[in-house]
Amino acid sequence: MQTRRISILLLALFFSAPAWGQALRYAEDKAPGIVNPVYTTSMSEARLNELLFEGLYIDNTELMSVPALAETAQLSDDKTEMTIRLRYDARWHDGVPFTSADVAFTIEAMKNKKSLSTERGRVAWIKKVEVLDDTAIKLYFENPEARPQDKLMFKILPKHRFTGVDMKRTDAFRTEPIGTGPYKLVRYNDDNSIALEANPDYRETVKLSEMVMREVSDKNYQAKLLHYESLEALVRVLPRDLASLQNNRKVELYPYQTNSWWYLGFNLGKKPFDDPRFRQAIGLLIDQEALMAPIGTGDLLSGPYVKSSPYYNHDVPAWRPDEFAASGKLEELGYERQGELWTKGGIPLELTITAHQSLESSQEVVINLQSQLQAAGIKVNVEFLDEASWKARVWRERNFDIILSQWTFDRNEDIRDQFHGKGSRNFTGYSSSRVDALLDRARESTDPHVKKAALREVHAAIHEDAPMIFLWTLDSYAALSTRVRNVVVHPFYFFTYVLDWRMD
Amino acid sequence: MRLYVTILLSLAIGCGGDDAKNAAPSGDALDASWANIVVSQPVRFAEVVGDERTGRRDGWIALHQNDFGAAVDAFNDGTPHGKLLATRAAVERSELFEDLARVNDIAWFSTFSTWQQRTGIPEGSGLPYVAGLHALDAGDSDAATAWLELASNAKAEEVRNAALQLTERGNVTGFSADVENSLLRSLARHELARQNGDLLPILQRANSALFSEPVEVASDEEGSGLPALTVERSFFDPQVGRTLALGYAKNATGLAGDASPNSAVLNSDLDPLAKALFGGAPAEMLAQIDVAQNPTAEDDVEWAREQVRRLDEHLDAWEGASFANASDDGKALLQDLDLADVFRSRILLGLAREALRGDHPRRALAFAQLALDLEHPREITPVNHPALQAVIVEAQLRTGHTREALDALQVLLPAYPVLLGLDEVISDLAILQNLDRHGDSKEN
Repeated sequence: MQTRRISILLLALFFSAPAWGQALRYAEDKAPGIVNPVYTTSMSEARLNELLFEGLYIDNTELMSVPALAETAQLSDDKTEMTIRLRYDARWHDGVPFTSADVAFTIEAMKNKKSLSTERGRVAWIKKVEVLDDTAIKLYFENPEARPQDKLMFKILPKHRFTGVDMKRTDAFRTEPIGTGPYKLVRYNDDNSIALEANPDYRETVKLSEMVMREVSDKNYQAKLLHYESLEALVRVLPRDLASLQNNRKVELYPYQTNSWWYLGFNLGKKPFDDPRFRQAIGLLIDQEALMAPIGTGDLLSGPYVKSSPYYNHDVPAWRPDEFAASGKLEELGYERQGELWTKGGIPLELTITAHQSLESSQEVVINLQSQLQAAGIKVNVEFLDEASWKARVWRERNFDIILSQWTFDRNEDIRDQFHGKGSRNFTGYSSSRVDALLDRARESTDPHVKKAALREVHAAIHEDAPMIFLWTLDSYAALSTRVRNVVVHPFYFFTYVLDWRMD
Repeated sequence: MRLYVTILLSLAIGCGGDDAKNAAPSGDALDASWANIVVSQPVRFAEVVGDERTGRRDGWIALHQNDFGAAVDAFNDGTPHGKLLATRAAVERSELFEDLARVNDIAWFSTFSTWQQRTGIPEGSGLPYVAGLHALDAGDSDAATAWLELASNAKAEEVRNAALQLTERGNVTGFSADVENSLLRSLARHELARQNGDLLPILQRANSALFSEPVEVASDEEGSGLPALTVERSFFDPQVGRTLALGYAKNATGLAGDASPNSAVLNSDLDPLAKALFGGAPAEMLAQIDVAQNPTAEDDVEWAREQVRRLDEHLDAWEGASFANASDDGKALLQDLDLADVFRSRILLGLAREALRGDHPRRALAFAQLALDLEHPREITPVNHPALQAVIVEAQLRTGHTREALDALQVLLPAYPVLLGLDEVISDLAILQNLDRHGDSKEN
């Protein structure tokens, strides 16, 4: 009888709730610094963009390009032009219709050097944009393109919310973003959380009516919040937390493939980091396994790819601690051991390791690294930067000695921006004509064996030149409450298929 | 309307509700499982696995750790029971290589057809020979004929000759091991290995390319300024996967002395525990706990997850009850051998394989991924059966997630270096499928 009463009550409660509803609260280590796809630099920003904005094309669940804001397209016989008919029924979150002018504006703003877009490379292959009418656009390419739709996934911005194509990071849009996507940003909260609501005008049903992004920099705390049901999703779980989450029957783990690796990056524009022998010496003084241990399991790496990558050179071993060899290199550079410390001209060798304060477990790694290097006779200072300082010091000013950070790549694993002499994300200032030639050759080639050979050689060269010491890759798992159903995770952008998700 | 429905449903519950259906599982339904027998009858378990003086114990340790080769060798002490146990391990190995042979076929077919579609076959390349050889070996004579005809344009004389001979013969058998042409000698080796189950000559060469050809990429001094580049285009042997599957199957039948080694084991006088140990659950048991019954017609991932949740409810109940009631020896076995997780993993492996056979790769992927022990995600362990990774590779390939297939294959490579050729061909496929994409990268 008691059970029956409870059944009735529960049924009544269930049926009084909205058919779709409840907020999905997910955690990010750090809140997005800017909500403008033209300036996206972090994964948390990319994930939020996926909820708010759309591109002309999108990956379906089989990772094939399918139209999103585009409706149909025609490629010219010589493959240098593409006419795209756009959706007529898409609207911006403020109700203004989406038109071809928005597409043209976005491309021009991204190409505009004054905008300083971090995504400029994504439109470099487009020579010209022509607006044919409100719902049709023609793209002209620098070179023939076999499948241009595969490159048309960058997010489109609303022309009417900017004063012109000279976009700035500080434009008001950054805190008042509007897109055409399934969610609208409704509120920034004082605790750095961001509240999103389903876009009522979206062309498909949005089953999760609300999303909340919570900034929780402590990964341990993130896992606890999920255990205590104060969150519904963690986008990335540390390996050490996997076992406890796996044992929680109210949580499911979703592996997804991100090619991401941790590294120490040197500033090659400063002495003594400009000398490869110094950088190699540092590599020989580090015990990578010991550094990784507090985080959990992963794979130590020797180059700029993960081990499963077609481009990983398995003949190149990861750096192993060898104090004798390291000492030899430092002595070649004029350093000598005086007591406990390495010195040159009587001045102790001293450097600063800089990390982003929100990089998961960076504090542990940096402190351990400091201990290792100090035990080896180097004075080490450490600093942790917030988002704004990181962007300024590392991205724009290149003002650092050594950084600890992490790169995440999509399935293309295109490292050109990080290591080419003209790369827009080449923080270290690395420059090698041989590596540049190999990277360019790999990019141009359509022969997988030529690409593999060239990029495996790049791996070996970069390892030897050591502009970075590659540390490890960790397995990527998302953790979601079992109340969230129909979850499919995009291997890079995560939320691409959120329209299918629902909450019980 | 909602209130009306609520009242109706509530009345239905009130009048006809069966509290027993909603009761938490007790775990009783798993009493007949091998896992429960081990925990509740540790003495019998000890008798089955033997003690340190016998190779049989080493065999069981190896089987528990999913090291099938070591298990076969350790079990095969020449006694009838030893042979039967070795057969059991050999069957497991053979099934794994059947899974991998299927992956092999998907990978080779997809890679060469994609290569042809996306970029065209490189001029003078021996690639069509390899594609034709694979097609012929897989029984697709039409595709083989088309590919081998293209191979007549190969620069390398040895390749052209081999292609001609294959075209004339129309199959991959009947070649002599004494011929000068190394490609034809390779065919003879495979035929012999498939006949007699001696895989050593295949294993010794599996990690070497079948043949290589130099690729000269001309400089572009007037255009991009890129210098010339010379690389080797290496093709691995597409027959390896099938030969290993057939060869290991041959080994199993040889040990059993029976065309159906599974039946030989099941019908033998081995202790039933020895037949079931470290295996899955019979269909009747799954029916009793209402797991994987009445699957949906669609490739429904959510259905698969629901089955796993239901299975976990029963396993959790069983594990709790077992631990409470078991002797100290039984408790030790439950924990030391990770019996609940091993049992779970084998059940899910069975469901994953069934899903693949039923053309439901997404469901298979869900079952396999949910079976893994994430404390050691990149290792083969008692819980992480290697076939789980083989299922994941196949499911990822079949759903367009080629790059992710390589992650799963990477787990298998240290224990099965013979998969290097498969890794390279799937790498080629991943590259070809993403040729026109613009790479994206972000910090953290």
